[in-house]
Formats: sequence, C-alpha cells, structure tokens
Amino acid sequence: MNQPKDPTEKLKNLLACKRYEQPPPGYFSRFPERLRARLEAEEFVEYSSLWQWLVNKFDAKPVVACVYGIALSTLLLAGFNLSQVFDTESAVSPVAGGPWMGWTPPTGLMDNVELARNRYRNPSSSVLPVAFLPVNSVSSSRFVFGTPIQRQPALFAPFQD
Amino acid sequence: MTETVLEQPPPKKQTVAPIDDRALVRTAQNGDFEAYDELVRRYQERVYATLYHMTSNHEDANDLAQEAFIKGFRALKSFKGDSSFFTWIYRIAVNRTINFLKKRNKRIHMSLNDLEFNAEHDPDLIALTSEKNPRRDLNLVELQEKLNEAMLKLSHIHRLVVTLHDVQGLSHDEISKIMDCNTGTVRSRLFYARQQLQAYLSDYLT
Repeated sequence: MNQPKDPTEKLKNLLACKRYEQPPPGYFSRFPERLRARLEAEEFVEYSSLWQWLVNKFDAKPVVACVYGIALSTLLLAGFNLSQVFDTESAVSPVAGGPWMGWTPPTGLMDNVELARNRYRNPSSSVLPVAFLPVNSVSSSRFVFGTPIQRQPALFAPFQD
Repeated sequence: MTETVLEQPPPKKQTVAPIDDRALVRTAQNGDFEAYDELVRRYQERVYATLYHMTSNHEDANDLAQEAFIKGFRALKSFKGDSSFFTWIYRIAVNRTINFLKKRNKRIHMSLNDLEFNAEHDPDLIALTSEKNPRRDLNLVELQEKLNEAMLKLSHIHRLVVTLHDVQGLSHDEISKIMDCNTGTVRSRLFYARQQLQAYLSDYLT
C-alpha cells in the first residue's frame, strides 16, 4: 500500500474522497426542469394576491412595515376615540344614532326645534319640549361604522289642515 | 485528352463549438430561459456539490442550489461581467448557504447513504480503511461519517475553504474571488481548517 505517512496528505486524500458523495441517480438531469417549474411557480405566487405582494414588500423593508403599523394603530386609536365622543353626544341627542343623522323638523315645530337645540347645546337643561318626548325610549346606537338602527322619535304635532 | 477529375473536398465534420459563457449570459439577459438552462447544466453539479459538503444534507443542498440559480436568474440583468459567471453564481450560492447555516440551529441531519459505489474501489480509501490504526475495523461509511462530523465542527468559513480547495479542487485564486478576500487569507484559513480537522480525526490519520 502506498499509504502516505504525512497526516496532512492523508487528510487531503480523505477529503478528496468526498467527491464520491453523489445525489440520487438522475438528479442532475431533472434539475433544470425542477428549477424552471419552481421559478414559474414563485412568479405566479408572487403576484397572486395583494396580501402576498404587501408581505413581500414589507419583508424587504422592515422600516416601512414599522411605519405602516404605527400609522394603522394611530388611525384605529383615533377612530376609537372619535366613536367614544359620538357615543357620548348621541346619548344626549334627541335623534337616534348621533347628531350627524339630522332630520328636518316639520313646519310649525320650529319653536320646539329651538328648544331642542338649546338642550343640545346645554345638556344639563331639564327643559324638554313635550312634543319631542318619544313614545318609546330612544336607545343610542353602539355602531361606529355600520348602519345603526334608526328609530325616529314620535312627534305629537297639532293637526293642521 | 486528359480527364480532369475534380476531387470533391471531404465533407467537413460539423463540430458544434461550445457556446461561451458570456454569450449565453447575454442571451439569457434578454430573457431567453434556454440559455440560462444551459448555464445551469454547466454548473449545477459543482454548485450542488459545494452546498452539499457545506450542509451535509441532500435536501438542504437541493433547496439552496435551486434558490441560488433562481436568484441568479433574477439578478442576471445586474451582472456586468466583471467576473466569470461561474464565480458570480458561486458567490451567490455560497453567501446564501452561509446565511442559511447561521439560521440553522443544530438542525443537522446527515444523509450519507448516497455514497457512490465506486468509492469503495478508491485506492486512497482502501489504504485509509485497511491500515493498522486504533479503529482498524472502521468501514468506509463510518469513516465518511467521522469526516463529515469533523467538517461540521469547523466554522462556516473554514468549512467553505476546505470544501472549495480540497474537495472541489479550486485554486486559491478562484477561492479568493468567490470569498472576496485575498489569496493570503485563503491560505491561512485553509491551513487553520486542516489543523482543526487533523485534530478531530487524529485517531484515524495517525
């Protein structure tokens, strides 16, 4: 045996024998086809959905993702605070659903409307026009963005010909 | 009257010269996937082998090789031709593999059952396995396992240098281009890596 005595040479020979470690037969003949299939599949998936596109974009740009997250959180918080304000206002508003759902009072009720406006501006006032008292109590809507159930207050206006 | 016989020249053998890498790259840069296919066929074995010896796992090497060639295809437009395509794609593959290995936490499954049968007839291996040593009953597969275990104990950079030089047979100059360092660094890393391997495999090399 022409076995080298130098350990370094032995090591080199041993390492060179690692070249014999091969993948399963036929692996390399199918490699380009598999590569092309994967490339096409990835290109299809890449733009298959807006969500995927967003994820890919943000994956590459973490700073943008952070800014987007902070902006979204701020927006949600602001929306929540706004809904709280509207909830409070709708509790004292004579109109169900809040002040933004205004209604046009019928003719002849302008005095009552004035009274209602005064009450709206000064909720602590106990003066309330009788004609504005609903038959059923008006519950304020808890919806913020959805369509609330609108209950119009019952009005008792003098019959006019 | 003499007849003149016109001798027809023998038909030329049509030899298809292999297309230069640069020409293939230019064609592939224009979106021709066939040209890129040819480049893949030329270098797939060497790229795969390097990644396999780096990861000691067939599935990981397969995934990484595919990812490297896909990234190469997508970045082909930015390839200026300052280096050879071989060096360029190797650099992509190697960088990707080193990043992968950094993330892989001891999730190592060696798949060494694909050893080619011809290795058993290699004279160097016969000599190594039959020599009188403390592990004289060591068989070929065990020896390969010990070697791979020792390789995995090396740092990624040192394993890469050993793989490229001692397994793949690349020159110091080529390795320095792939690893983006000078040849002196390659030599020193190679020396250190061999020292480490010899220490790990001292039972089998003395």
